[in-house]
Amino acid sequence: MNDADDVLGQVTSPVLAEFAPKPRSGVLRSIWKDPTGRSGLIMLVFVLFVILIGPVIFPFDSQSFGSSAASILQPPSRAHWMGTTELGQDVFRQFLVGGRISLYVGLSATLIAMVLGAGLGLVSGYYAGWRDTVLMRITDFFLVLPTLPLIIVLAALFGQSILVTSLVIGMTSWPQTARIIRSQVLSLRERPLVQRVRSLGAGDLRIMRKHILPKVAPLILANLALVLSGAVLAQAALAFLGLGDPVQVSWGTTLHNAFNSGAMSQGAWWYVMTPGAGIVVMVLAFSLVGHSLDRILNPLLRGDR
Amino acid sequence: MTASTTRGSNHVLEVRDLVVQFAGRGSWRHRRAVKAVDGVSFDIEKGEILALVGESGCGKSTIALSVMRLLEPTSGRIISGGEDLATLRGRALRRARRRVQMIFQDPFGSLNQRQTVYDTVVEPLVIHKLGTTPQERRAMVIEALDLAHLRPPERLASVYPHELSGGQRQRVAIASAMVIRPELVIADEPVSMLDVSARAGILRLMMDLRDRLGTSYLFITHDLAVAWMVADRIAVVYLGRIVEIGPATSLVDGPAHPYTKALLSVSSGDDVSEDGEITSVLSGETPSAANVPSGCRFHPRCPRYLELGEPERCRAEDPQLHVVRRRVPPSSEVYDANAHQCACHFAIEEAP
Amino acid sequence: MSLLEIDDLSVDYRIGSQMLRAVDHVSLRVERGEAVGIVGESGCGKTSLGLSIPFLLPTNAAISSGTVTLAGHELVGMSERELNRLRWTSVAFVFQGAMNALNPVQRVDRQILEAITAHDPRVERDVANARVLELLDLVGIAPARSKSYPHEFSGGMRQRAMIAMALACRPSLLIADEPTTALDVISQAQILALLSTLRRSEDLSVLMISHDLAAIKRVCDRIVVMYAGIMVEMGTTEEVLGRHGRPAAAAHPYTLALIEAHPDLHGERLLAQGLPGHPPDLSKPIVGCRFADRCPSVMPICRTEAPPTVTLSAGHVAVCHLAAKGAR
Repeated sequence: MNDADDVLGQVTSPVLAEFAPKPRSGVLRSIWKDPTGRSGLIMLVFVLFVILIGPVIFPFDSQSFGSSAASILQPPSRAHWMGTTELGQDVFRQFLVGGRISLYVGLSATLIAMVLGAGLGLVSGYYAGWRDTVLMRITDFFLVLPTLPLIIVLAALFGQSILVTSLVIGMTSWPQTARIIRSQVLSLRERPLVQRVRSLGAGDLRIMRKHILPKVAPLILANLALVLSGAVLAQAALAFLGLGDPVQVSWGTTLHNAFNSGAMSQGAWWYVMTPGAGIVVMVLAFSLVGHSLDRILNPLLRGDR
Repeated sequence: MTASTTRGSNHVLEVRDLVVQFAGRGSWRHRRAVKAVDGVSFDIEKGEILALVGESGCGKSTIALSVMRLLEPTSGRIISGGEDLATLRGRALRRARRRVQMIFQDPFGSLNQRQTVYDTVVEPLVIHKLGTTPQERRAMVIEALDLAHLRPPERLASVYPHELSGGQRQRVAIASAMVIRPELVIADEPVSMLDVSARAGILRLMMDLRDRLGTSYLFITHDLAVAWMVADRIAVVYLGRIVEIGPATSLVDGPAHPYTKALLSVSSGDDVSEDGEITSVLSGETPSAANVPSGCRFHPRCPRYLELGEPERCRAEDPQLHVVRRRVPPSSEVYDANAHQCACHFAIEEAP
Repeated sequence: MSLLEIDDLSVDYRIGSQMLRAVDHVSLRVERGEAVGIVGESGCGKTSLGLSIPFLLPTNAAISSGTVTLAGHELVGMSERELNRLRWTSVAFVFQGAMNALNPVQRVDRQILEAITAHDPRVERDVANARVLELLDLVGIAPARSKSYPHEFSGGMRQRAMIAMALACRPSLLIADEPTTALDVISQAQILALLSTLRRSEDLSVLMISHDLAAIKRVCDRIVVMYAGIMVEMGTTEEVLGRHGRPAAAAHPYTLALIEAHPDLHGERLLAQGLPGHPPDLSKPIVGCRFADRCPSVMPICRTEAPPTVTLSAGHVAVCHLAAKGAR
């Protein structure tokens, strides 16, 4: 036998098989196996069903107010499953529509946060040096920016809209992502892999794109779910305080109206519970899935020495 | 300083007075610069394997990384293909990288776990825009894998690093370096993380590539015995300087520098006597580069220094490399690349 | 009675849904005052074997069969409390990369002191401090350096500190796993010389685990060669590896390959043959000899039948069909 022939054998160690890139379906299956993740997924499916299918089955007509005084603030009945508002509107139908806005704002804000955060973290961690220092100081600035005063100011300047809300939440969420990505990239850039590819003549962009980004992608994904849950909650809070878009009926807005009309003191629990439960379930769903993802994807991160 | 070269056209690399300095520790005011590499010069001829041997921290890896411009040299010239690599940047540097490639110590860490062997080996072709069609590139990759003794290459091209053994992974790294046919390959401890039984295969491969393609090697290792197996010439590095350099046989049969002699004694097991008593060859530890001894940097640990009654010269004067043995008569004008040089005031000059 | 008796020991690892037998029915003995070396390459099970003696295997590993007897005490089945009493006082260990296990924020002498007081809380301060200085002197660390922090020590000195710590409670057995990896050649020689000296001065038995045949040759009286979880050869170092003037009398092809792969600076410049391929996958059942795929002297019987243990001379055994053929 030619001693130079190195024949391909089986996997030398089952331990190392963990380092194989995980196929997409594998991640989903892993989340399902995890009890935390499973609960989150079930809640998520429920929420998405409500939001996407609900309004189709039960259309909401913002113009349909109660016909008579008798239909104001009615408890749940066969006619109105979750009761009525102070204007005689059907709470259930509001619930179905309101979720969309919450999710929409949540997603836009998260998108902004992710692009800014991951992008900045990547650049900052890869180059280190003075670029890192400058970018990190900018990050620090945004980190301490308070969401509430900012949105009040911007709302006063540009009016209350979904866009402003998304922007503000996005702007105040990206720093935490940036920091997490940056520290991972800082350690990755020291690996022999990066040295080898640089010695081949690869440019910085190529290295970031092909060798570093895929390794931090799991981290970004896990972080995304958590940021999303935070964004949804933030939007609900802002809408509750009356800083959201007054025209769009989101769950937060519903709560805002409920509060203003004195629903609690009048015992109209259905008015508060319904949107409240919606917010809780949606935030919890994303949070649970996010934590589950973090747990699943982390061993890969730890193992990717 | 030794005589300047006149056979420059045959050199793939010429390093002159390389200095690599790092900011030391300590407060702003008292920070002392640490010279990890303090004036190193050497040449590598076409088809030659030069080994840099020394203990960890002596600066040999720093030399390698500086030549590759993965670390920035503080001063000195690194001449390859008529250009000074130390001054290049941008596109010119990338072009120059086609000539000089590097292999690293950790075969697992230097590969991207998410890329197949094919992706890893085709990458340099993509970076340097070699091969006009995907088919052409594939053919080049298969050829490189075959060259690196990874057989059957078609099958191995589609596996992932975790499915390979340490030796195979290192071959993949070698294939990715060789696919662009560099003139010089710098190998930084290429076998020290491999099992002993896998080492010979990699060393054989390197020599095979040298014989077939004329690739030169700068082989970094802490193991003199490994250097002995592959190198044409060996340079011994101590505390940022080359203290001895010469043909492998001449150096191993008749070391001129006391440090080389000590390394040799330990590496060959000659320091163990008949009844198992181990004689201590060197006392103390290698000083850190921040605290370089005065005069000859080796004198505090040098057995010869003690033997000769602690001569003043060793404490006061920094010895330069000078020829102790050459194959060409001293009157010749031609620089003898195979001259055996040593930086010691009292070099052991007996011929082997 | 031997100081350490390992009989028919097996260690299994659970990885995911698979089970892997890292050590497969291995037996060996260490006598008082003896130094035994276990040599093998990555994945051969030597580290698992070493860790199983003081019962420090990772949580996904377990001893599935066999016994470990230390100075007459049967260790398998002992309670954790009893084991703790034996650890460090009867058997001490220096792990792979132990030099990095030192507490970076504590002075070295304090750490060694801790090793003493942890096992004897009632010891007097003066007595303990004196012992610390005694230990440091034993390993060649000047008293002036004792108050330093680990980062002020070089790799070699840190390893000496670890050895000092290991000897704190006067154990009878010292297990050292790769004590010289990651050290310079000169420091390696110094540490090995130290181990040799300590053996004699402290009446210490040493079980040294290493992939470096040269290191084992320097320190050990007997050598055990492991491959893919089993012992393939065992004998005196002098017989198996040879010494001054005496050639190696190793019988197993793997041992021979290992010896040949370690370059010799004396002889001619020959590039070693090496061994292509890699050890078998231990999670799958193995038929015949584990080394058959890589053995240069493989015979048909090697692929079908597990090789027998052949006694070649007093104390020298090899597990090999070829050796069996030769012995007949």
